[in-house]
Amino acid sequence: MDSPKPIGATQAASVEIDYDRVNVAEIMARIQKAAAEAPAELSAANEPREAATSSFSPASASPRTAPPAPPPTDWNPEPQGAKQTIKKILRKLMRPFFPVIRLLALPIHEELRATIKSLHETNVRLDNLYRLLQMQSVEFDRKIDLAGERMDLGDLRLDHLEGRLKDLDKSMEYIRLLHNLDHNLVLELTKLKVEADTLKSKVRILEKDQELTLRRERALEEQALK
Amino acid sequence: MTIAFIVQRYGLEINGGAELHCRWVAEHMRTHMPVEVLTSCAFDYITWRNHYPEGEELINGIRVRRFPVSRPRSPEKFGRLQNRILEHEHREQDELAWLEEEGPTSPKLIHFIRKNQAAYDYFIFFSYRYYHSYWGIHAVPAKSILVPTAEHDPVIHLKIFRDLFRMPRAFVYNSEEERVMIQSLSRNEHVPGLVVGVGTEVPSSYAADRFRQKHGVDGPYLIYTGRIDQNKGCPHLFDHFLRFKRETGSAVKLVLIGSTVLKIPAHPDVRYLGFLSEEDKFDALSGAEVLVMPSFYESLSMVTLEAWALGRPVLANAKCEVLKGQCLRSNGGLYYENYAEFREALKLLLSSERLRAALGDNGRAYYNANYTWDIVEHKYLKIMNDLGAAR
Repeated sequence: MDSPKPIGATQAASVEIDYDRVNVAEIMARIQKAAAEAPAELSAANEPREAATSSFSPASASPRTAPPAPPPTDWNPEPQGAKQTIKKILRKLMRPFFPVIRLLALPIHEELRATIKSLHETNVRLDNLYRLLQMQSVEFDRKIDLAGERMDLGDLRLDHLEGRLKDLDKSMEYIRLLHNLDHNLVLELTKLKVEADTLKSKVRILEKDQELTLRRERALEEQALK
Repeated sequence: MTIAFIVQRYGLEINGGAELHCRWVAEHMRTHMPVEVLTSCAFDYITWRNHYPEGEELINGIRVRRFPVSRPRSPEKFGRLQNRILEHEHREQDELAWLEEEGPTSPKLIHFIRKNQAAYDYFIFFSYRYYHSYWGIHAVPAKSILVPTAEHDPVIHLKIFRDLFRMPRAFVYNSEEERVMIQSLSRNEHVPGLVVGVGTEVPSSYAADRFRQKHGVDGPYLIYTGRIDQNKGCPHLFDHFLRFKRETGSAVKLVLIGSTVLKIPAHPDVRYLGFLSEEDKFDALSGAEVLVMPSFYESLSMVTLEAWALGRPVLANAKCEVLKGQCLRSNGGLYYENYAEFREALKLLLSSERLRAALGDNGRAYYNANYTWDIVEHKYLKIMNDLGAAR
């Protein structure tokens, strides 16, 4: 185990490394830890410089040359002291020219009036559009309700169809059982028929035996009588 | 056994990741079996306009059949379609329309594959997201092997690709992370696949001093090689590096190699050298303290493998799962998710030569165990033999 030695101005984080078996995952875990801790140390030393030079993009390059913005102050529209006096004097001096100034400002005034009128009309149009939007929204809600009702109806039909399907399943099961029964009946009848045929054959054999016995009996009687 | 490699573009002057990957694999597999390449006539990957003549030609001993692109891509229309499929509800038809615009649309190539499927044992498709792979695999699913070269790109979530990933006979993945991503997206665990990647051509000799003398670079330096653009995370690298310099007062330099679409910061310790020859690149890599890979999306970083082949450690962007996974598996590099981690990891790397050497050795061992050409070729052969045995 060994710690890397810093060269020149570069101070490495104290990361112990087993050079015979370098494990990048372990080194990175320590580097990430060091990186997470470092901002607190560095912020004090680097903050002013960082703000000006943290990015290479042209958009952020401008702050390098621009002076820092002044702190925000309360803006006071009223002039104070000497300024107020100068303003009063200027106003007195300009008083004879006020009608001319008003005359010059007339077209601007007219333009302002026209703009205000136009703005008013725009507002009215916006109100109308808003009303229209509301009406359409109501209509839309109604259609959604209608669609909901239709969906409910569809659900009912679906339930009904599901019930019918269950009945159908039951019927199919009965039919399957009846088929089995038919099959078994046919089987039993066939067995009975075979048995009946066997018995008939046996009866025929017995009849023949009896006939033979009778003939022998008759022959023996004839011999005995002779 | 005859195999066909199908890729969007092909040529000695094409250096795109998947295209170069395909060419290298084709050239190495040529020593084991007859190999052909089926590709488009395109050179420009933005419009896919026909550039090469239609027909056959021999490139490094491989027969290359080129098929014309029927309709070049309109970048505006493509952007519009991509926006629609990525940000709005859409149908499968929209995704197919996007794919057609994505291109390179070459119905003749697909027709050739369908008509001549009996002449080839396997069709190896490169890059899942293009027209040739999608329709090619649909044409010959039973003979297709897909090398997806997939990244964490939003289009990978499209439905057409989820279905596509269940179609081929086998997959050749670039990394374990790519395999996990594709399997979790498409649930295609039943499709066999191997993590293969690609080998790299390391020159027999390289010299850091030669590079230092030629380009006037002295002192320790980090290196980044590759396209210098936003998607590769280069703005973050510049930002982190300059901030690191200010905060630590380190004398380390940053050497950048590759074509750029970004403005390089004007700083005496940031040296942009442009596009260099392979010899210069390896010379530069061999002398670097660390290779930095700030890219967010990689399916396999060839430069990282090259650095490991030379025994150099890597500092990678942890937001790229593939790079982070490779660092953890190889124990050949560190990674960072934010500036604080970048600073600590780089400080550690620069301060310990022993750590750099140990990580570099691990990286080299990982490269030798997984990414030499013998191993890559053997894995490709294994896939095809296994498929042949399963028939």
